[in-house]
Amino acid sequence: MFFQLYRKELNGLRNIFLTLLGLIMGIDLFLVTRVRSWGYWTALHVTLIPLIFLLIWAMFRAFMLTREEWKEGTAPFLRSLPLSGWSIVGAKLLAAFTEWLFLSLATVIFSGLFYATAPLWGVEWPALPDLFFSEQTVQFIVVSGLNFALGIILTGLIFQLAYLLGRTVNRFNALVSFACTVLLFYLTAKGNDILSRLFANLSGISPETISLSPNANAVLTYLKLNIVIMLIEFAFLFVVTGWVMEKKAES
Amino acid sequence: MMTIPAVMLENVVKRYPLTRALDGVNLTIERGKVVGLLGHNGSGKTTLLKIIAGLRTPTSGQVRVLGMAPGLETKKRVAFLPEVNTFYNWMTVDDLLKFVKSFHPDLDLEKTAELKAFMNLKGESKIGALSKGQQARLKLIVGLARQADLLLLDEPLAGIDPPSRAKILHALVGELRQEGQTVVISTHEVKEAEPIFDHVIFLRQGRVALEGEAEALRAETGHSMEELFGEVLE
Repeated sequence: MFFQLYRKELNGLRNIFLTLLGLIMGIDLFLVTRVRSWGYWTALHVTLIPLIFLLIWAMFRAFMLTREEWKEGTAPFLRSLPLSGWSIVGAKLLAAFTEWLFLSLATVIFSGLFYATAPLWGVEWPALPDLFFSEQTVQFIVVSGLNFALGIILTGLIFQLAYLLGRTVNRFNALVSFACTVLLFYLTAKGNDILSRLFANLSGISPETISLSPNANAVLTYLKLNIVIMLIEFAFLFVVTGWVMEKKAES
Repeated sequence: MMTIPAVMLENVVKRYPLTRALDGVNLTIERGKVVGLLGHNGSGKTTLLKIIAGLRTPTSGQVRVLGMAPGLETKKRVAFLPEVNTFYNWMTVDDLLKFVKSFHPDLDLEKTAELKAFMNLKGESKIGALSKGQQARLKLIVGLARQADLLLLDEPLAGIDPPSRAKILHALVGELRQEGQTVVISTHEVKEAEPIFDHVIFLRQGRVALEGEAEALRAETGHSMEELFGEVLE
């Protein structure tokens, strides 16, 4: 049943996904026409700019999908289905994440194609040894990527929960949602701080120790610990959001 | 052996910061009945149906639906059709029916085909392109094609043209209704719907103003439901 719901969310996203994909392709085609005036490397870097937009877009996406159910009047139908609140919240989060992942991949692939055409513009590719990363760099990229991905999902969940809390009252929904957003971000940051200190005591690695003696291994460990912290926060917020969706939100 | 009622409400209150949508409602709806839930706008009809459907939680009081507290189990056995168009505009009629079928295995696909023909709806039509009346018909298809024990219809006739209403209402209690199914209909169209009600509940300002078997009420008061609607609720 979760899969059916996830598929429904993906189908609902199709038009916007295709529009954004078209926009990204459009930007890249436009950049092809700018290579001569801007220079190849500038144009190549600009092809990656949609990634920043997608990052911000993804943070709001799960919230937008939830809000749409109420705005379009489909929430009573959705909530009358024998589905747990966690399934509904999870399907929306996963769909939003899938959209972000595929659009980001498309951006990177288009950028790669742009890179592949370098010789056409009379630019030489960097020498092969420059393209290979060390094991530590790869690890750093993977761990940073996971931090980004979890950060996006966690932020999306916070917006979703704040919106649903606004739906537990019959007046001033937007105001309540806004206040809850601020409060939830504060509580999440506070929780992150407390858990960081706890883990710092256990591992001996904290932002302070890293700033005193910068060291790649310590940064990597710190980023890994941050993943664990975000997972803990995500699990807690997910339980609460699903419960609010199933029991407390009104439609 | 005593049969568990379809719905039982004990002193149900639904309070909002500035209003009381329901104010101590006590009700028992027996199984297999067609019940009319009558009242003006803001009398609490929709809130009551949504509480029974498990979409809203009462502030206090006890609600039992088919002997259980409203939740996932009752949602499997209850079909709730809200007043407003509630379906996804980008889906086609057939997409929607498949989607519903994946959550409610009790949806009878053969019956949906019959109902589509009866309601004059095409499977490939986009929901967003349907008129208000066609969307109301689609809602009825989704509800009636299920073998749900309890069918909750909030203003099912809104948007449907008058000549079709009588036809649909007649069919609703006739060949379209599943055997033994309990149907609760909230409506303003008292005159048209009156003949199909076994039991009526008049709601006024969140309270039950009058309830009883339709036939008995008519005999006792000498008034039709439409006249009672005016008398009791004005």
